[in-house]
Amino acid sequence: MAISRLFDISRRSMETYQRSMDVSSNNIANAANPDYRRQRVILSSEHTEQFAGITWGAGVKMDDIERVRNALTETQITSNNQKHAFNERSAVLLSQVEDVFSEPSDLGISNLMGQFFSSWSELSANPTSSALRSNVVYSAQNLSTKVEDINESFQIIKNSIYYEFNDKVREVNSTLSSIQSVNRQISEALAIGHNANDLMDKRDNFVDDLSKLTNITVNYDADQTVNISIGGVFAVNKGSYTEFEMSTTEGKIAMVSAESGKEVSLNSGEMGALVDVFSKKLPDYQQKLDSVISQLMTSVNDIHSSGYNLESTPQTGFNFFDSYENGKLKITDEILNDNNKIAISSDGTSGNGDIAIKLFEIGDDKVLDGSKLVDVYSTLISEVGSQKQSADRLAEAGSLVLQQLNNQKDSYSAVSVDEEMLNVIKYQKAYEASAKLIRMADEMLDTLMTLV
Amino acid sequence: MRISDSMLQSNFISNLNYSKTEMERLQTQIASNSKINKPSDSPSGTAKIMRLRSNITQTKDFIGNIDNSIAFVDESMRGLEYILDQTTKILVDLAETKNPSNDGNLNSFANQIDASLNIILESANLEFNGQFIFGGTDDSTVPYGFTADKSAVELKSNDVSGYRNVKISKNTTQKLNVPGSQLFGDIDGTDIFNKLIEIRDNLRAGTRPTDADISFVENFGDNIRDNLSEVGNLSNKLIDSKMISQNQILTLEDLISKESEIDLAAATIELQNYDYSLQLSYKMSSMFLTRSLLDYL
Repeated sequence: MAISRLFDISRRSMETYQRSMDVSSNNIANAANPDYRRQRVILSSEHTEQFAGITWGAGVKMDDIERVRNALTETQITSNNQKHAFNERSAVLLSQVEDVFSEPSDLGISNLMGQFFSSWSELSANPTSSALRSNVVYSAQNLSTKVEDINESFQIIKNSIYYEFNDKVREVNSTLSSIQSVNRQISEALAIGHNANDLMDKRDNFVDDLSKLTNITVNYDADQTVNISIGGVFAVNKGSYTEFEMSTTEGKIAMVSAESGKEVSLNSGEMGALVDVFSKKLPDYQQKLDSVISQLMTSVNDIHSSGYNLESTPQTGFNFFDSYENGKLKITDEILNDNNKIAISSDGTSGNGDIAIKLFEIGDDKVLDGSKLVDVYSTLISEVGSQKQSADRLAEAGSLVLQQLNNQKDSYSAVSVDEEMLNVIKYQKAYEASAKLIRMADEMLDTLMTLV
Repeated sequence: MRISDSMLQSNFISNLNYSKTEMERLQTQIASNSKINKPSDSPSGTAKIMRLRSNITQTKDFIGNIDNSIAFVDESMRGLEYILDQTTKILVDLAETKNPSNDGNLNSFANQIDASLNIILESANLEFNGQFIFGGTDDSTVPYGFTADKSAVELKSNDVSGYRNVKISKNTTQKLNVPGSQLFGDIDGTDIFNKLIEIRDNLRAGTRPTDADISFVENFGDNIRDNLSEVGNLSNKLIDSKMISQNQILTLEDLISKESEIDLAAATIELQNYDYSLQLSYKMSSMFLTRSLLDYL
């Protein structure tokens, strides 16, 4: 055995531990980077040598720098991200809808509708009072203003969702483009034997971002690239990606492939929530509110038109409300201009308020699908509240699940500075020992030389 | 389990957020003294509160109607009492005319009857809040008045037979007024006003009232008494209805209170607990979040 072998073994050892310290340094440098997955060196013994019938160890070598990652946990995170983003975004959007109704407060339709019916009750007791006739008109105007305000707010929320959805489609396209680009770089790096750990971190973060936007199915190919589809439509692989665009048909928003026009079935992620609220929940709330207000208008007009007004020659056959169109409940111009046109007398005499009593009784009559107007309306409010509460609870539960999953992921993949510092000390000691070995080999060689 | 630095931080932030969210919830509840500020705080509770409030508004309407009605009925009673007083006076005067010693005073009795007639007519036209108490439902004009030559009383309005109805409870629409037609009959010359004019004019002509005349006035008085009694009963009924409605409101408000009000003491203590744990978390964070092996190397 030549003494020079000692130099070879020590040199390789020093080189290996120096590179190991590089890896630990990189880990420590990325300790606060949330997207980083720690790396570790895989060391193994160098190929042994056979000499004089004996197997000689040849030192240490670095096989690989491995990215520490728990694939199962990360797949679960991707899946839960979609559900959590859906519920969290739904909760925010429904909270906006909930605020629009201003219930339960004095400013809500429920109370304003009550005041409207009360004004008829008061008028019935004193049918010729101009002040009480004006009060009927004011309370109808208050109700009408609130109805208009709610409908306008619905429109504002829909507009805001529309533009947000459009932005999200662009975000999806940009993310898909980035994933395709990184996919290609990973494939190329691995093909020439380079380490692609950082690229894979970057790619996984893009996948993570995408999973918050929409429902995705992720498949890992043999060459470590990903193949993703969104709602049943191919989205990206290493070779290409699909450009999506927003489409609007029959009051519904959707994301379609720009090339084939195929619609993506969006059912989770933030975009799923936007579609759900825009295309399903808001139209449903709108339809229910419309049915209450339309029925109110019809019932009031039916009764009002049978009464006589307070003109010198009492007239009958006049409606109180003009129309309910485009979210606006209009009182007839005749009544707005002259409250004597309010027709509450059943026989044409000025002091008769029988029609006003009947109008007051609408509030207590089961005029809409066998229910009172206030009951149908309060059921709508209860439905909005239940859906918001459900979204809140699911978002909260999802948040806890995600936190646990992220803890599991961090437990596996995140950097522990303590652990890395111990590694640094370990590698430093190994490096020092190898250096000392070289000095000892050198001394052995000197001893030999003095003999010559 | 391997504990990384980021796990400590994310767990700490998550717990901190939880404490702050709970504190925000409790602060809102304490400030509003209500645990239901949005439908999502309690969907079924919100619907229940809306229905209860609707009931309270309706019941308050009934109380408002009853208050108005009581004032109207009181005024009706006052009017009927005036009429009854005058009718009684007339009956006394008519009895006096039967006494032969009063032969020389017939004109004086005629004047007294004329004065009573005017008071009865004034009472028949009694007005309350723009409404003629005994004028049916026609408020456009005074119901009764003299003809232009003052020789008779005639009906000035078109109709005095209408009933003023008012809603005093969910299932009760109450007739409030005593229509003039019910008190004074048809104004066709055989009514009380024109009968009194006839008696007055006869007395001035030296003719005593007949037994039929006296009987007519007595019947009128009985009718007024009957109506007065009916109005008195109505007044009692209205007062009872008001008490029932007021009790209903108390019950409904109690239900709303049970549904929405918070236990202030419990909420305050809970808030304080979260505040303590928040402060403790901050203190703990300064102890462990900055430490690592680096501090000891």
